[in-house]
Amino acid sequence: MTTIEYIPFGIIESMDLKKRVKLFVNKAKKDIIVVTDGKLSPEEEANLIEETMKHITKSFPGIEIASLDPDEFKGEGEQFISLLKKKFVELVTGKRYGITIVGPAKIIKEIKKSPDKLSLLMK
Amino acid sequence: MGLFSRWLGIFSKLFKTKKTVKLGIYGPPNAGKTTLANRIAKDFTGEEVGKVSPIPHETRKVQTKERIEIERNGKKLVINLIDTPGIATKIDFEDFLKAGLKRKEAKKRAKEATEGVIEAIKWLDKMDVVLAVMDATKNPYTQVNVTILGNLEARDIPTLIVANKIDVKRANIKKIKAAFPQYEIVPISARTGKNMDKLYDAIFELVKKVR
Repeated sequence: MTTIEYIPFGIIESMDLKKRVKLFVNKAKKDIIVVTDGKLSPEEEANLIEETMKHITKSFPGIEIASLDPDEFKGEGEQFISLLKKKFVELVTGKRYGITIVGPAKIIKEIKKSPDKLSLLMK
Repeated sequence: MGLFSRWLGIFSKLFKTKKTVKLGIYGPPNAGKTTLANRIAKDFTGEEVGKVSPIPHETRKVQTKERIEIERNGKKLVINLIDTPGIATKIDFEDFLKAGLKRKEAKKRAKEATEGVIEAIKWLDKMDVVLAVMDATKNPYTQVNVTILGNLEARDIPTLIVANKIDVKRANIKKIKAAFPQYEIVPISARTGKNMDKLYDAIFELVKKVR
């Protein structure tokens, strides 16, 4: 049975980097797919990959991860303006817009990104 | 500025050795990173950097070739070429078995591959410039590519995308341009050597952005 858990990004953000990364890896090891309403930073993603590598075994081949930023696929001019707006809001409120899905590679074949959606292809 | 310091500046410019640029090659497994590293090293030193294989994670340790002198149009550039293991979010032992490796070999390769990914990420901080290699026959909009580019941008490391394997019919450069419009993209075939001149010109331009 596959479990999908939604964890508010506020909870994830309140953890330090180590705990944050461990949360995703531990959930994936328990075959749980985590969905959160925020985008991990590139450094967090790199840390998550590093931590995942330390846990890889025959029964845990790793993770699938995808983040989507709502402004990523806008036209160039439009993207610049909304990026400015977003950065300002992020600076003031600390909120990071987007969505992140992290799950076990054992059950997720691929997470496909396209201009307006993320598709989970299960094994 | 005093006359003495002006003379000192001219003197040191005349005799200082050229700075060596650390050029990293990054990308997912099987994008052709080592084939590209071999091509660059062979073009200027006659020697190769590492072994290539169709089985993923052939490069499991960072490989370097130091002090390669690249010459273009009378200009010279000295680089330390750093070929890194492919970055991945998963390493499946079963994939190695399917590729024909024996169990013991597959197990060893998987373990070494995980260490290689960690090593590649750790080396990010040491790079002056990076060539992000993508397989032009595959979907470029993967989280690994996004993560690599995001980390390079966060570290302010000048980067260009190398769209490799353009000798293969289904290669699609437009897809890479659409996915990463803010980057300069140089389409090449590391295997055949197509467009390598363009890549060397682009490397010279890239190095100018090093702070």
